[in-house]
Amino acid sequence: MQKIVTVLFLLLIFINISYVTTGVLFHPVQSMDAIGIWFFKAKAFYIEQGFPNNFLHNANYAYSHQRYPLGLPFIIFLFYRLMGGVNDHSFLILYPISYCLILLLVYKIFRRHTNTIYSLIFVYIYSMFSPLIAAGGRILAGNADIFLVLVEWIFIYILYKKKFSIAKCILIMILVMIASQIKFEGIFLSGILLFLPVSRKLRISLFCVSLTPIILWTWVTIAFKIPTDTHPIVPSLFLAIERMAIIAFGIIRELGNINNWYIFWVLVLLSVLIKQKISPLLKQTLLPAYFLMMFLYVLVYLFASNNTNEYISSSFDRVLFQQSALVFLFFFEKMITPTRELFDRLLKGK
Amino acid sequence: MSIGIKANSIFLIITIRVFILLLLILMLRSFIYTKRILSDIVKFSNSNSKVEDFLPYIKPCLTEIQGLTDEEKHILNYRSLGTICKK
Repeated sequence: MQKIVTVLFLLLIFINISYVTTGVLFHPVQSMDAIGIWFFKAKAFYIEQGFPNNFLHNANYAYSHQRYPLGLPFIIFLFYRLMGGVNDHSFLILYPISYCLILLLVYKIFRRHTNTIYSLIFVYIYSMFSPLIAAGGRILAGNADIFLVLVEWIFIYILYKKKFSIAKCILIMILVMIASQIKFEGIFLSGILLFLPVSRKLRISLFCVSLTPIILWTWVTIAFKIPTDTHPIVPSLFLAIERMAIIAFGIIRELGNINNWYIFWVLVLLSVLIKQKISPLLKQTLLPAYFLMMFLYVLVYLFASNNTNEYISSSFDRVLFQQSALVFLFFFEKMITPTRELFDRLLKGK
Repeated sequence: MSIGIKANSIFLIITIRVFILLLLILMLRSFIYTKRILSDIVKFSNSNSKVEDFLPYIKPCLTEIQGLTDEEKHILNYRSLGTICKK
């Protein structure tokens, strides 16, 4: 019976992998952000054969967020050079590969805690999240968010139930630096560095060094006078209260978005209420970092010059997706014992 | 049994039931995905011009649209960049 269940979940995961792969094989680039931001900037690199200075100063392209870090477009540009020409579609194959890598990491991490069958069940649940499937090859292939998720799972892979060392801390810091050059939000991952179980001095040092690339990039954007499409504002008290209400409503609306998350967030809420122990790493490092990162996102929504309602409606699904690794690990730890008991009873027919 | 333990076991029962419901929903969705995969594959195998339809390097030429703004012309040019235009 256990073998049948294992094969069933392997088959279900295989269906998802096939689904994201056929998505990039048989459909063109569909994501507006991919077309208008990431591939567009890579083409600017290609045309200018280096730093796309003209492109970044052309007001026609303001919608492409000219101040965004150029890490991903630069990698796409290198890919074009390798291929000997511009080919967006071929680059998309990297997305199902990232999807598979994420699932493999999730499986490897969960296997440190439980056996194959329960690991596969939770890997399957994670693999079904619509934002992950979309980013892995359906509709949103070409966007940058999946790489931040991959980096977050790599963090967990390095840290979870493993011995701690300074080399690992430095590796995590380097990953944060890379993440900050994929997307601005990547820098929020430096929050994890602040809660690592090492000396306070080391934590602060790692945190400060991890900020270097983003500070340098911000300096470049100011020094080269690259135009910005958004800026921070200080809202009046009344506006701040109104924005807080919009943010709270936007968060609740997305948590209840069945198309994206099914009933996962209901389960997360229920799993908070049940008494199950969680690992010290999750309790002392990952969850505090998660709350800090979510707080920073809320601050961005609160102080950005954009229309808060439109901003949160169009982006909070991606925020939850970017930070999904930490929540899912929490969900796994809380749910693994009840799930094991349930399936043991079912499989043994008690 | 104390109230705390009772409450916990009630939450546990609800959680497990919701968990099973989630798994069932996901499996249903997997069934829909399977149908979409098959439809994509069938569409590909039934296509008479596989190369033009599915391989990105060779694309049919985009018809020039009149009255585009400078920005739109740029986008059109950028989108066509690097593809072999087959008339």
